[in-house]
Amino acid sequence: MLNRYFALLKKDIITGVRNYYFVVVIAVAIIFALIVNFLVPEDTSIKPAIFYHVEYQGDMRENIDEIIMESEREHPNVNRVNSREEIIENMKKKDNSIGMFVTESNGKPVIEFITQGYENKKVINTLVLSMKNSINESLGRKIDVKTNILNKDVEMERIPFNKSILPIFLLTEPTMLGFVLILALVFMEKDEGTIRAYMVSPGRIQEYLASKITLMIILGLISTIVCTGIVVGFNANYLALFGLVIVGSIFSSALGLIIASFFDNLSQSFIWVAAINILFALPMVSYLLPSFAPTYIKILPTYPLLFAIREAVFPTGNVEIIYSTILTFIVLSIMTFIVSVFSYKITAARD
Amino acid sequence: MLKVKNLYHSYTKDDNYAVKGISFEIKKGEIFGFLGPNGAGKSTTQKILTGLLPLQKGEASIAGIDVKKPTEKLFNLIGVSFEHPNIYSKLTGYENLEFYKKLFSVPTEDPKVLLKMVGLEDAVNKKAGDYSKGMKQRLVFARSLINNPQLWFLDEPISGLDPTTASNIKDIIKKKKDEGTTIFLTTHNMHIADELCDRVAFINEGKIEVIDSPRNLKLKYGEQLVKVEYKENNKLKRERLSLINDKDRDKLNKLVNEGKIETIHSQEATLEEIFIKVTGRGLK
Repeated sequence: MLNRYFALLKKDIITGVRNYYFVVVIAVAIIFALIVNFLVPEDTSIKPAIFYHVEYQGDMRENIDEIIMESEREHPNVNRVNSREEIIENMKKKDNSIGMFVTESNGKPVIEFITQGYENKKVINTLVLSMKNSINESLGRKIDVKTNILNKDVEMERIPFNKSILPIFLLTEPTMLGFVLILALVFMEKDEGTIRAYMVSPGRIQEYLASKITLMIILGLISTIVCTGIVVGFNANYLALFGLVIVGSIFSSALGLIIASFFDNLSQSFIWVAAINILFALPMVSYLLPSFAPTYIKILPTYPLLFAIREAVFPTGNVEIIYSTILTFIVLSIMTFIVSVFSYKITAARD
Repeated sequence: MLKVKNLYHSYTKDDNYAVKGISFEIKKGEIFGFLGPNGAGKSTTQKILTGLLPLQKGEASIAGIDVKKPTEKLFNLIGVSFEHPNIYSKLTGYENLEFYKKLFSVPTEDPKVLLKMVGLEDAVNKKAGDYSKGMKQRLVFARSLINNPQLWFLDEPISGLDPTTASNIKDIIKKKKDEGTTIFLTTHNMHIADELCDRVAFINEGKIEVIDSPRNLKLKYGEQLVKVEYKENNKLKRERLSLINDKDRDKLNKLVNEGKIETIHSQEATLEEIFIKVTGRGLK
């Protein structure tokens, strides 16, 4: 059985090499990495709107109002609201916004900055620091400043914008690459009729499909190493990243095999391929706009996968998301592989 | 070696059968020809026997192994040469055979020996996609021998080949028969069937109409005639004379004794003529 698997894998690798799959995958990874490093700017953010409410009524109230008025003059998006709740309500409606709530503790003013969690940290820190400094300068003494994050699960830690799109590439290329590439490989073999020759040999369909999935994993890992290596160097959690790319590749390739079993060429299967690609790409919207994460996007398997890849590339210590995603995808991969084997057993004779 | 009993197959899974209750047996070392026009049920039968189609109704076994539940052992026993070349175009001829060889768990042939046997020794390292149609067909033929099959399925093995190559392929088939290989030959070419087969089955509209040796069929369905050309009064004459009719026999004897005959040909029926006689339709 292993002999047959390795014979199939060798054959698939030779076919992949002669079809330039390896060259294309490496070239695309290098081009993407170069674009990320040299063409995409590190910061594309717009200054956020500020919603504030001053509850503090002590002797420093006048000074605080003065500072805020000064900010309002410099910054057109500073809005006064009537309560802390109203700050949060407004922030939920406006994605690119932060909140400031000034309250009192032991007779002293306490300033609470409320952030969405996914803002560009540089901008927020600069803003908070400058306001904090202004207040301290004006009041001549230190006051308490605390920061509250609304969406802790999507907090991005100091990731420049250009590098933050690397997980999107890692999801669409190395991980989901298998979905389309395996279709091309299977359709080529269907056109050649070689699957019929295989079916009259002792070779089993599981071995046939497993070797193709293995080729996709190899291509995925090469693409991951090249691109991640150029963009973030040794800073990623490569072990976790490889784990995610492997399980993601198995899932996407097995899904591709299921689609391929029902059609004879790419044009026949185009609608299904396009629909599934679009569906699985939807989590990218939530990635770029974290406030937009409806349930129908969150239930897509690529949603946790994308955020788990980000955690692996830019580790923050949230390893649970990596483990749970790998576990989920192991289950999904086993299921899709079993379905693909059955669909081939049913349709192979027809081919 | 091969037993088929009451085999039915319907692509639409209703009573519209492509194969309708066919039964036959093939003895070890026999070349069995399966003759019929396109759509007669030849390919369907072969696909069922090689595991490419599920066995829906009836029984079939190869060397005692039930075809309904094909095992690895069964696939190690058979070799299939397809009519339409199905090879990995990105692999060389050698790589194609080397890959296929590793799928079997029985002693296998050396790919280079097989390639030489079918005249592809100069194209061993050439990509199979760059082969001509005839070369591809020979590669498929060679591939079907890689596991030294005990039951060898051949589907139109010389179709589209030039006469020299076809003759070489026929010689290989005869040699394999002599070595004890059982051969199931699917074709609509009556010449190759006549030349190679020990027995033939005529299949038409999913049913086997007749099974017998080509010789017996000719004797049974053919007319015993000879066609002679002879000179009489310096004029060339042609005549068909019966070997059964007394008057014709006397005339033939007279022509032989007088030494007037220039050419003489036996006029037994061809398998195609017998097929038409039996089924009412041609083989093409």
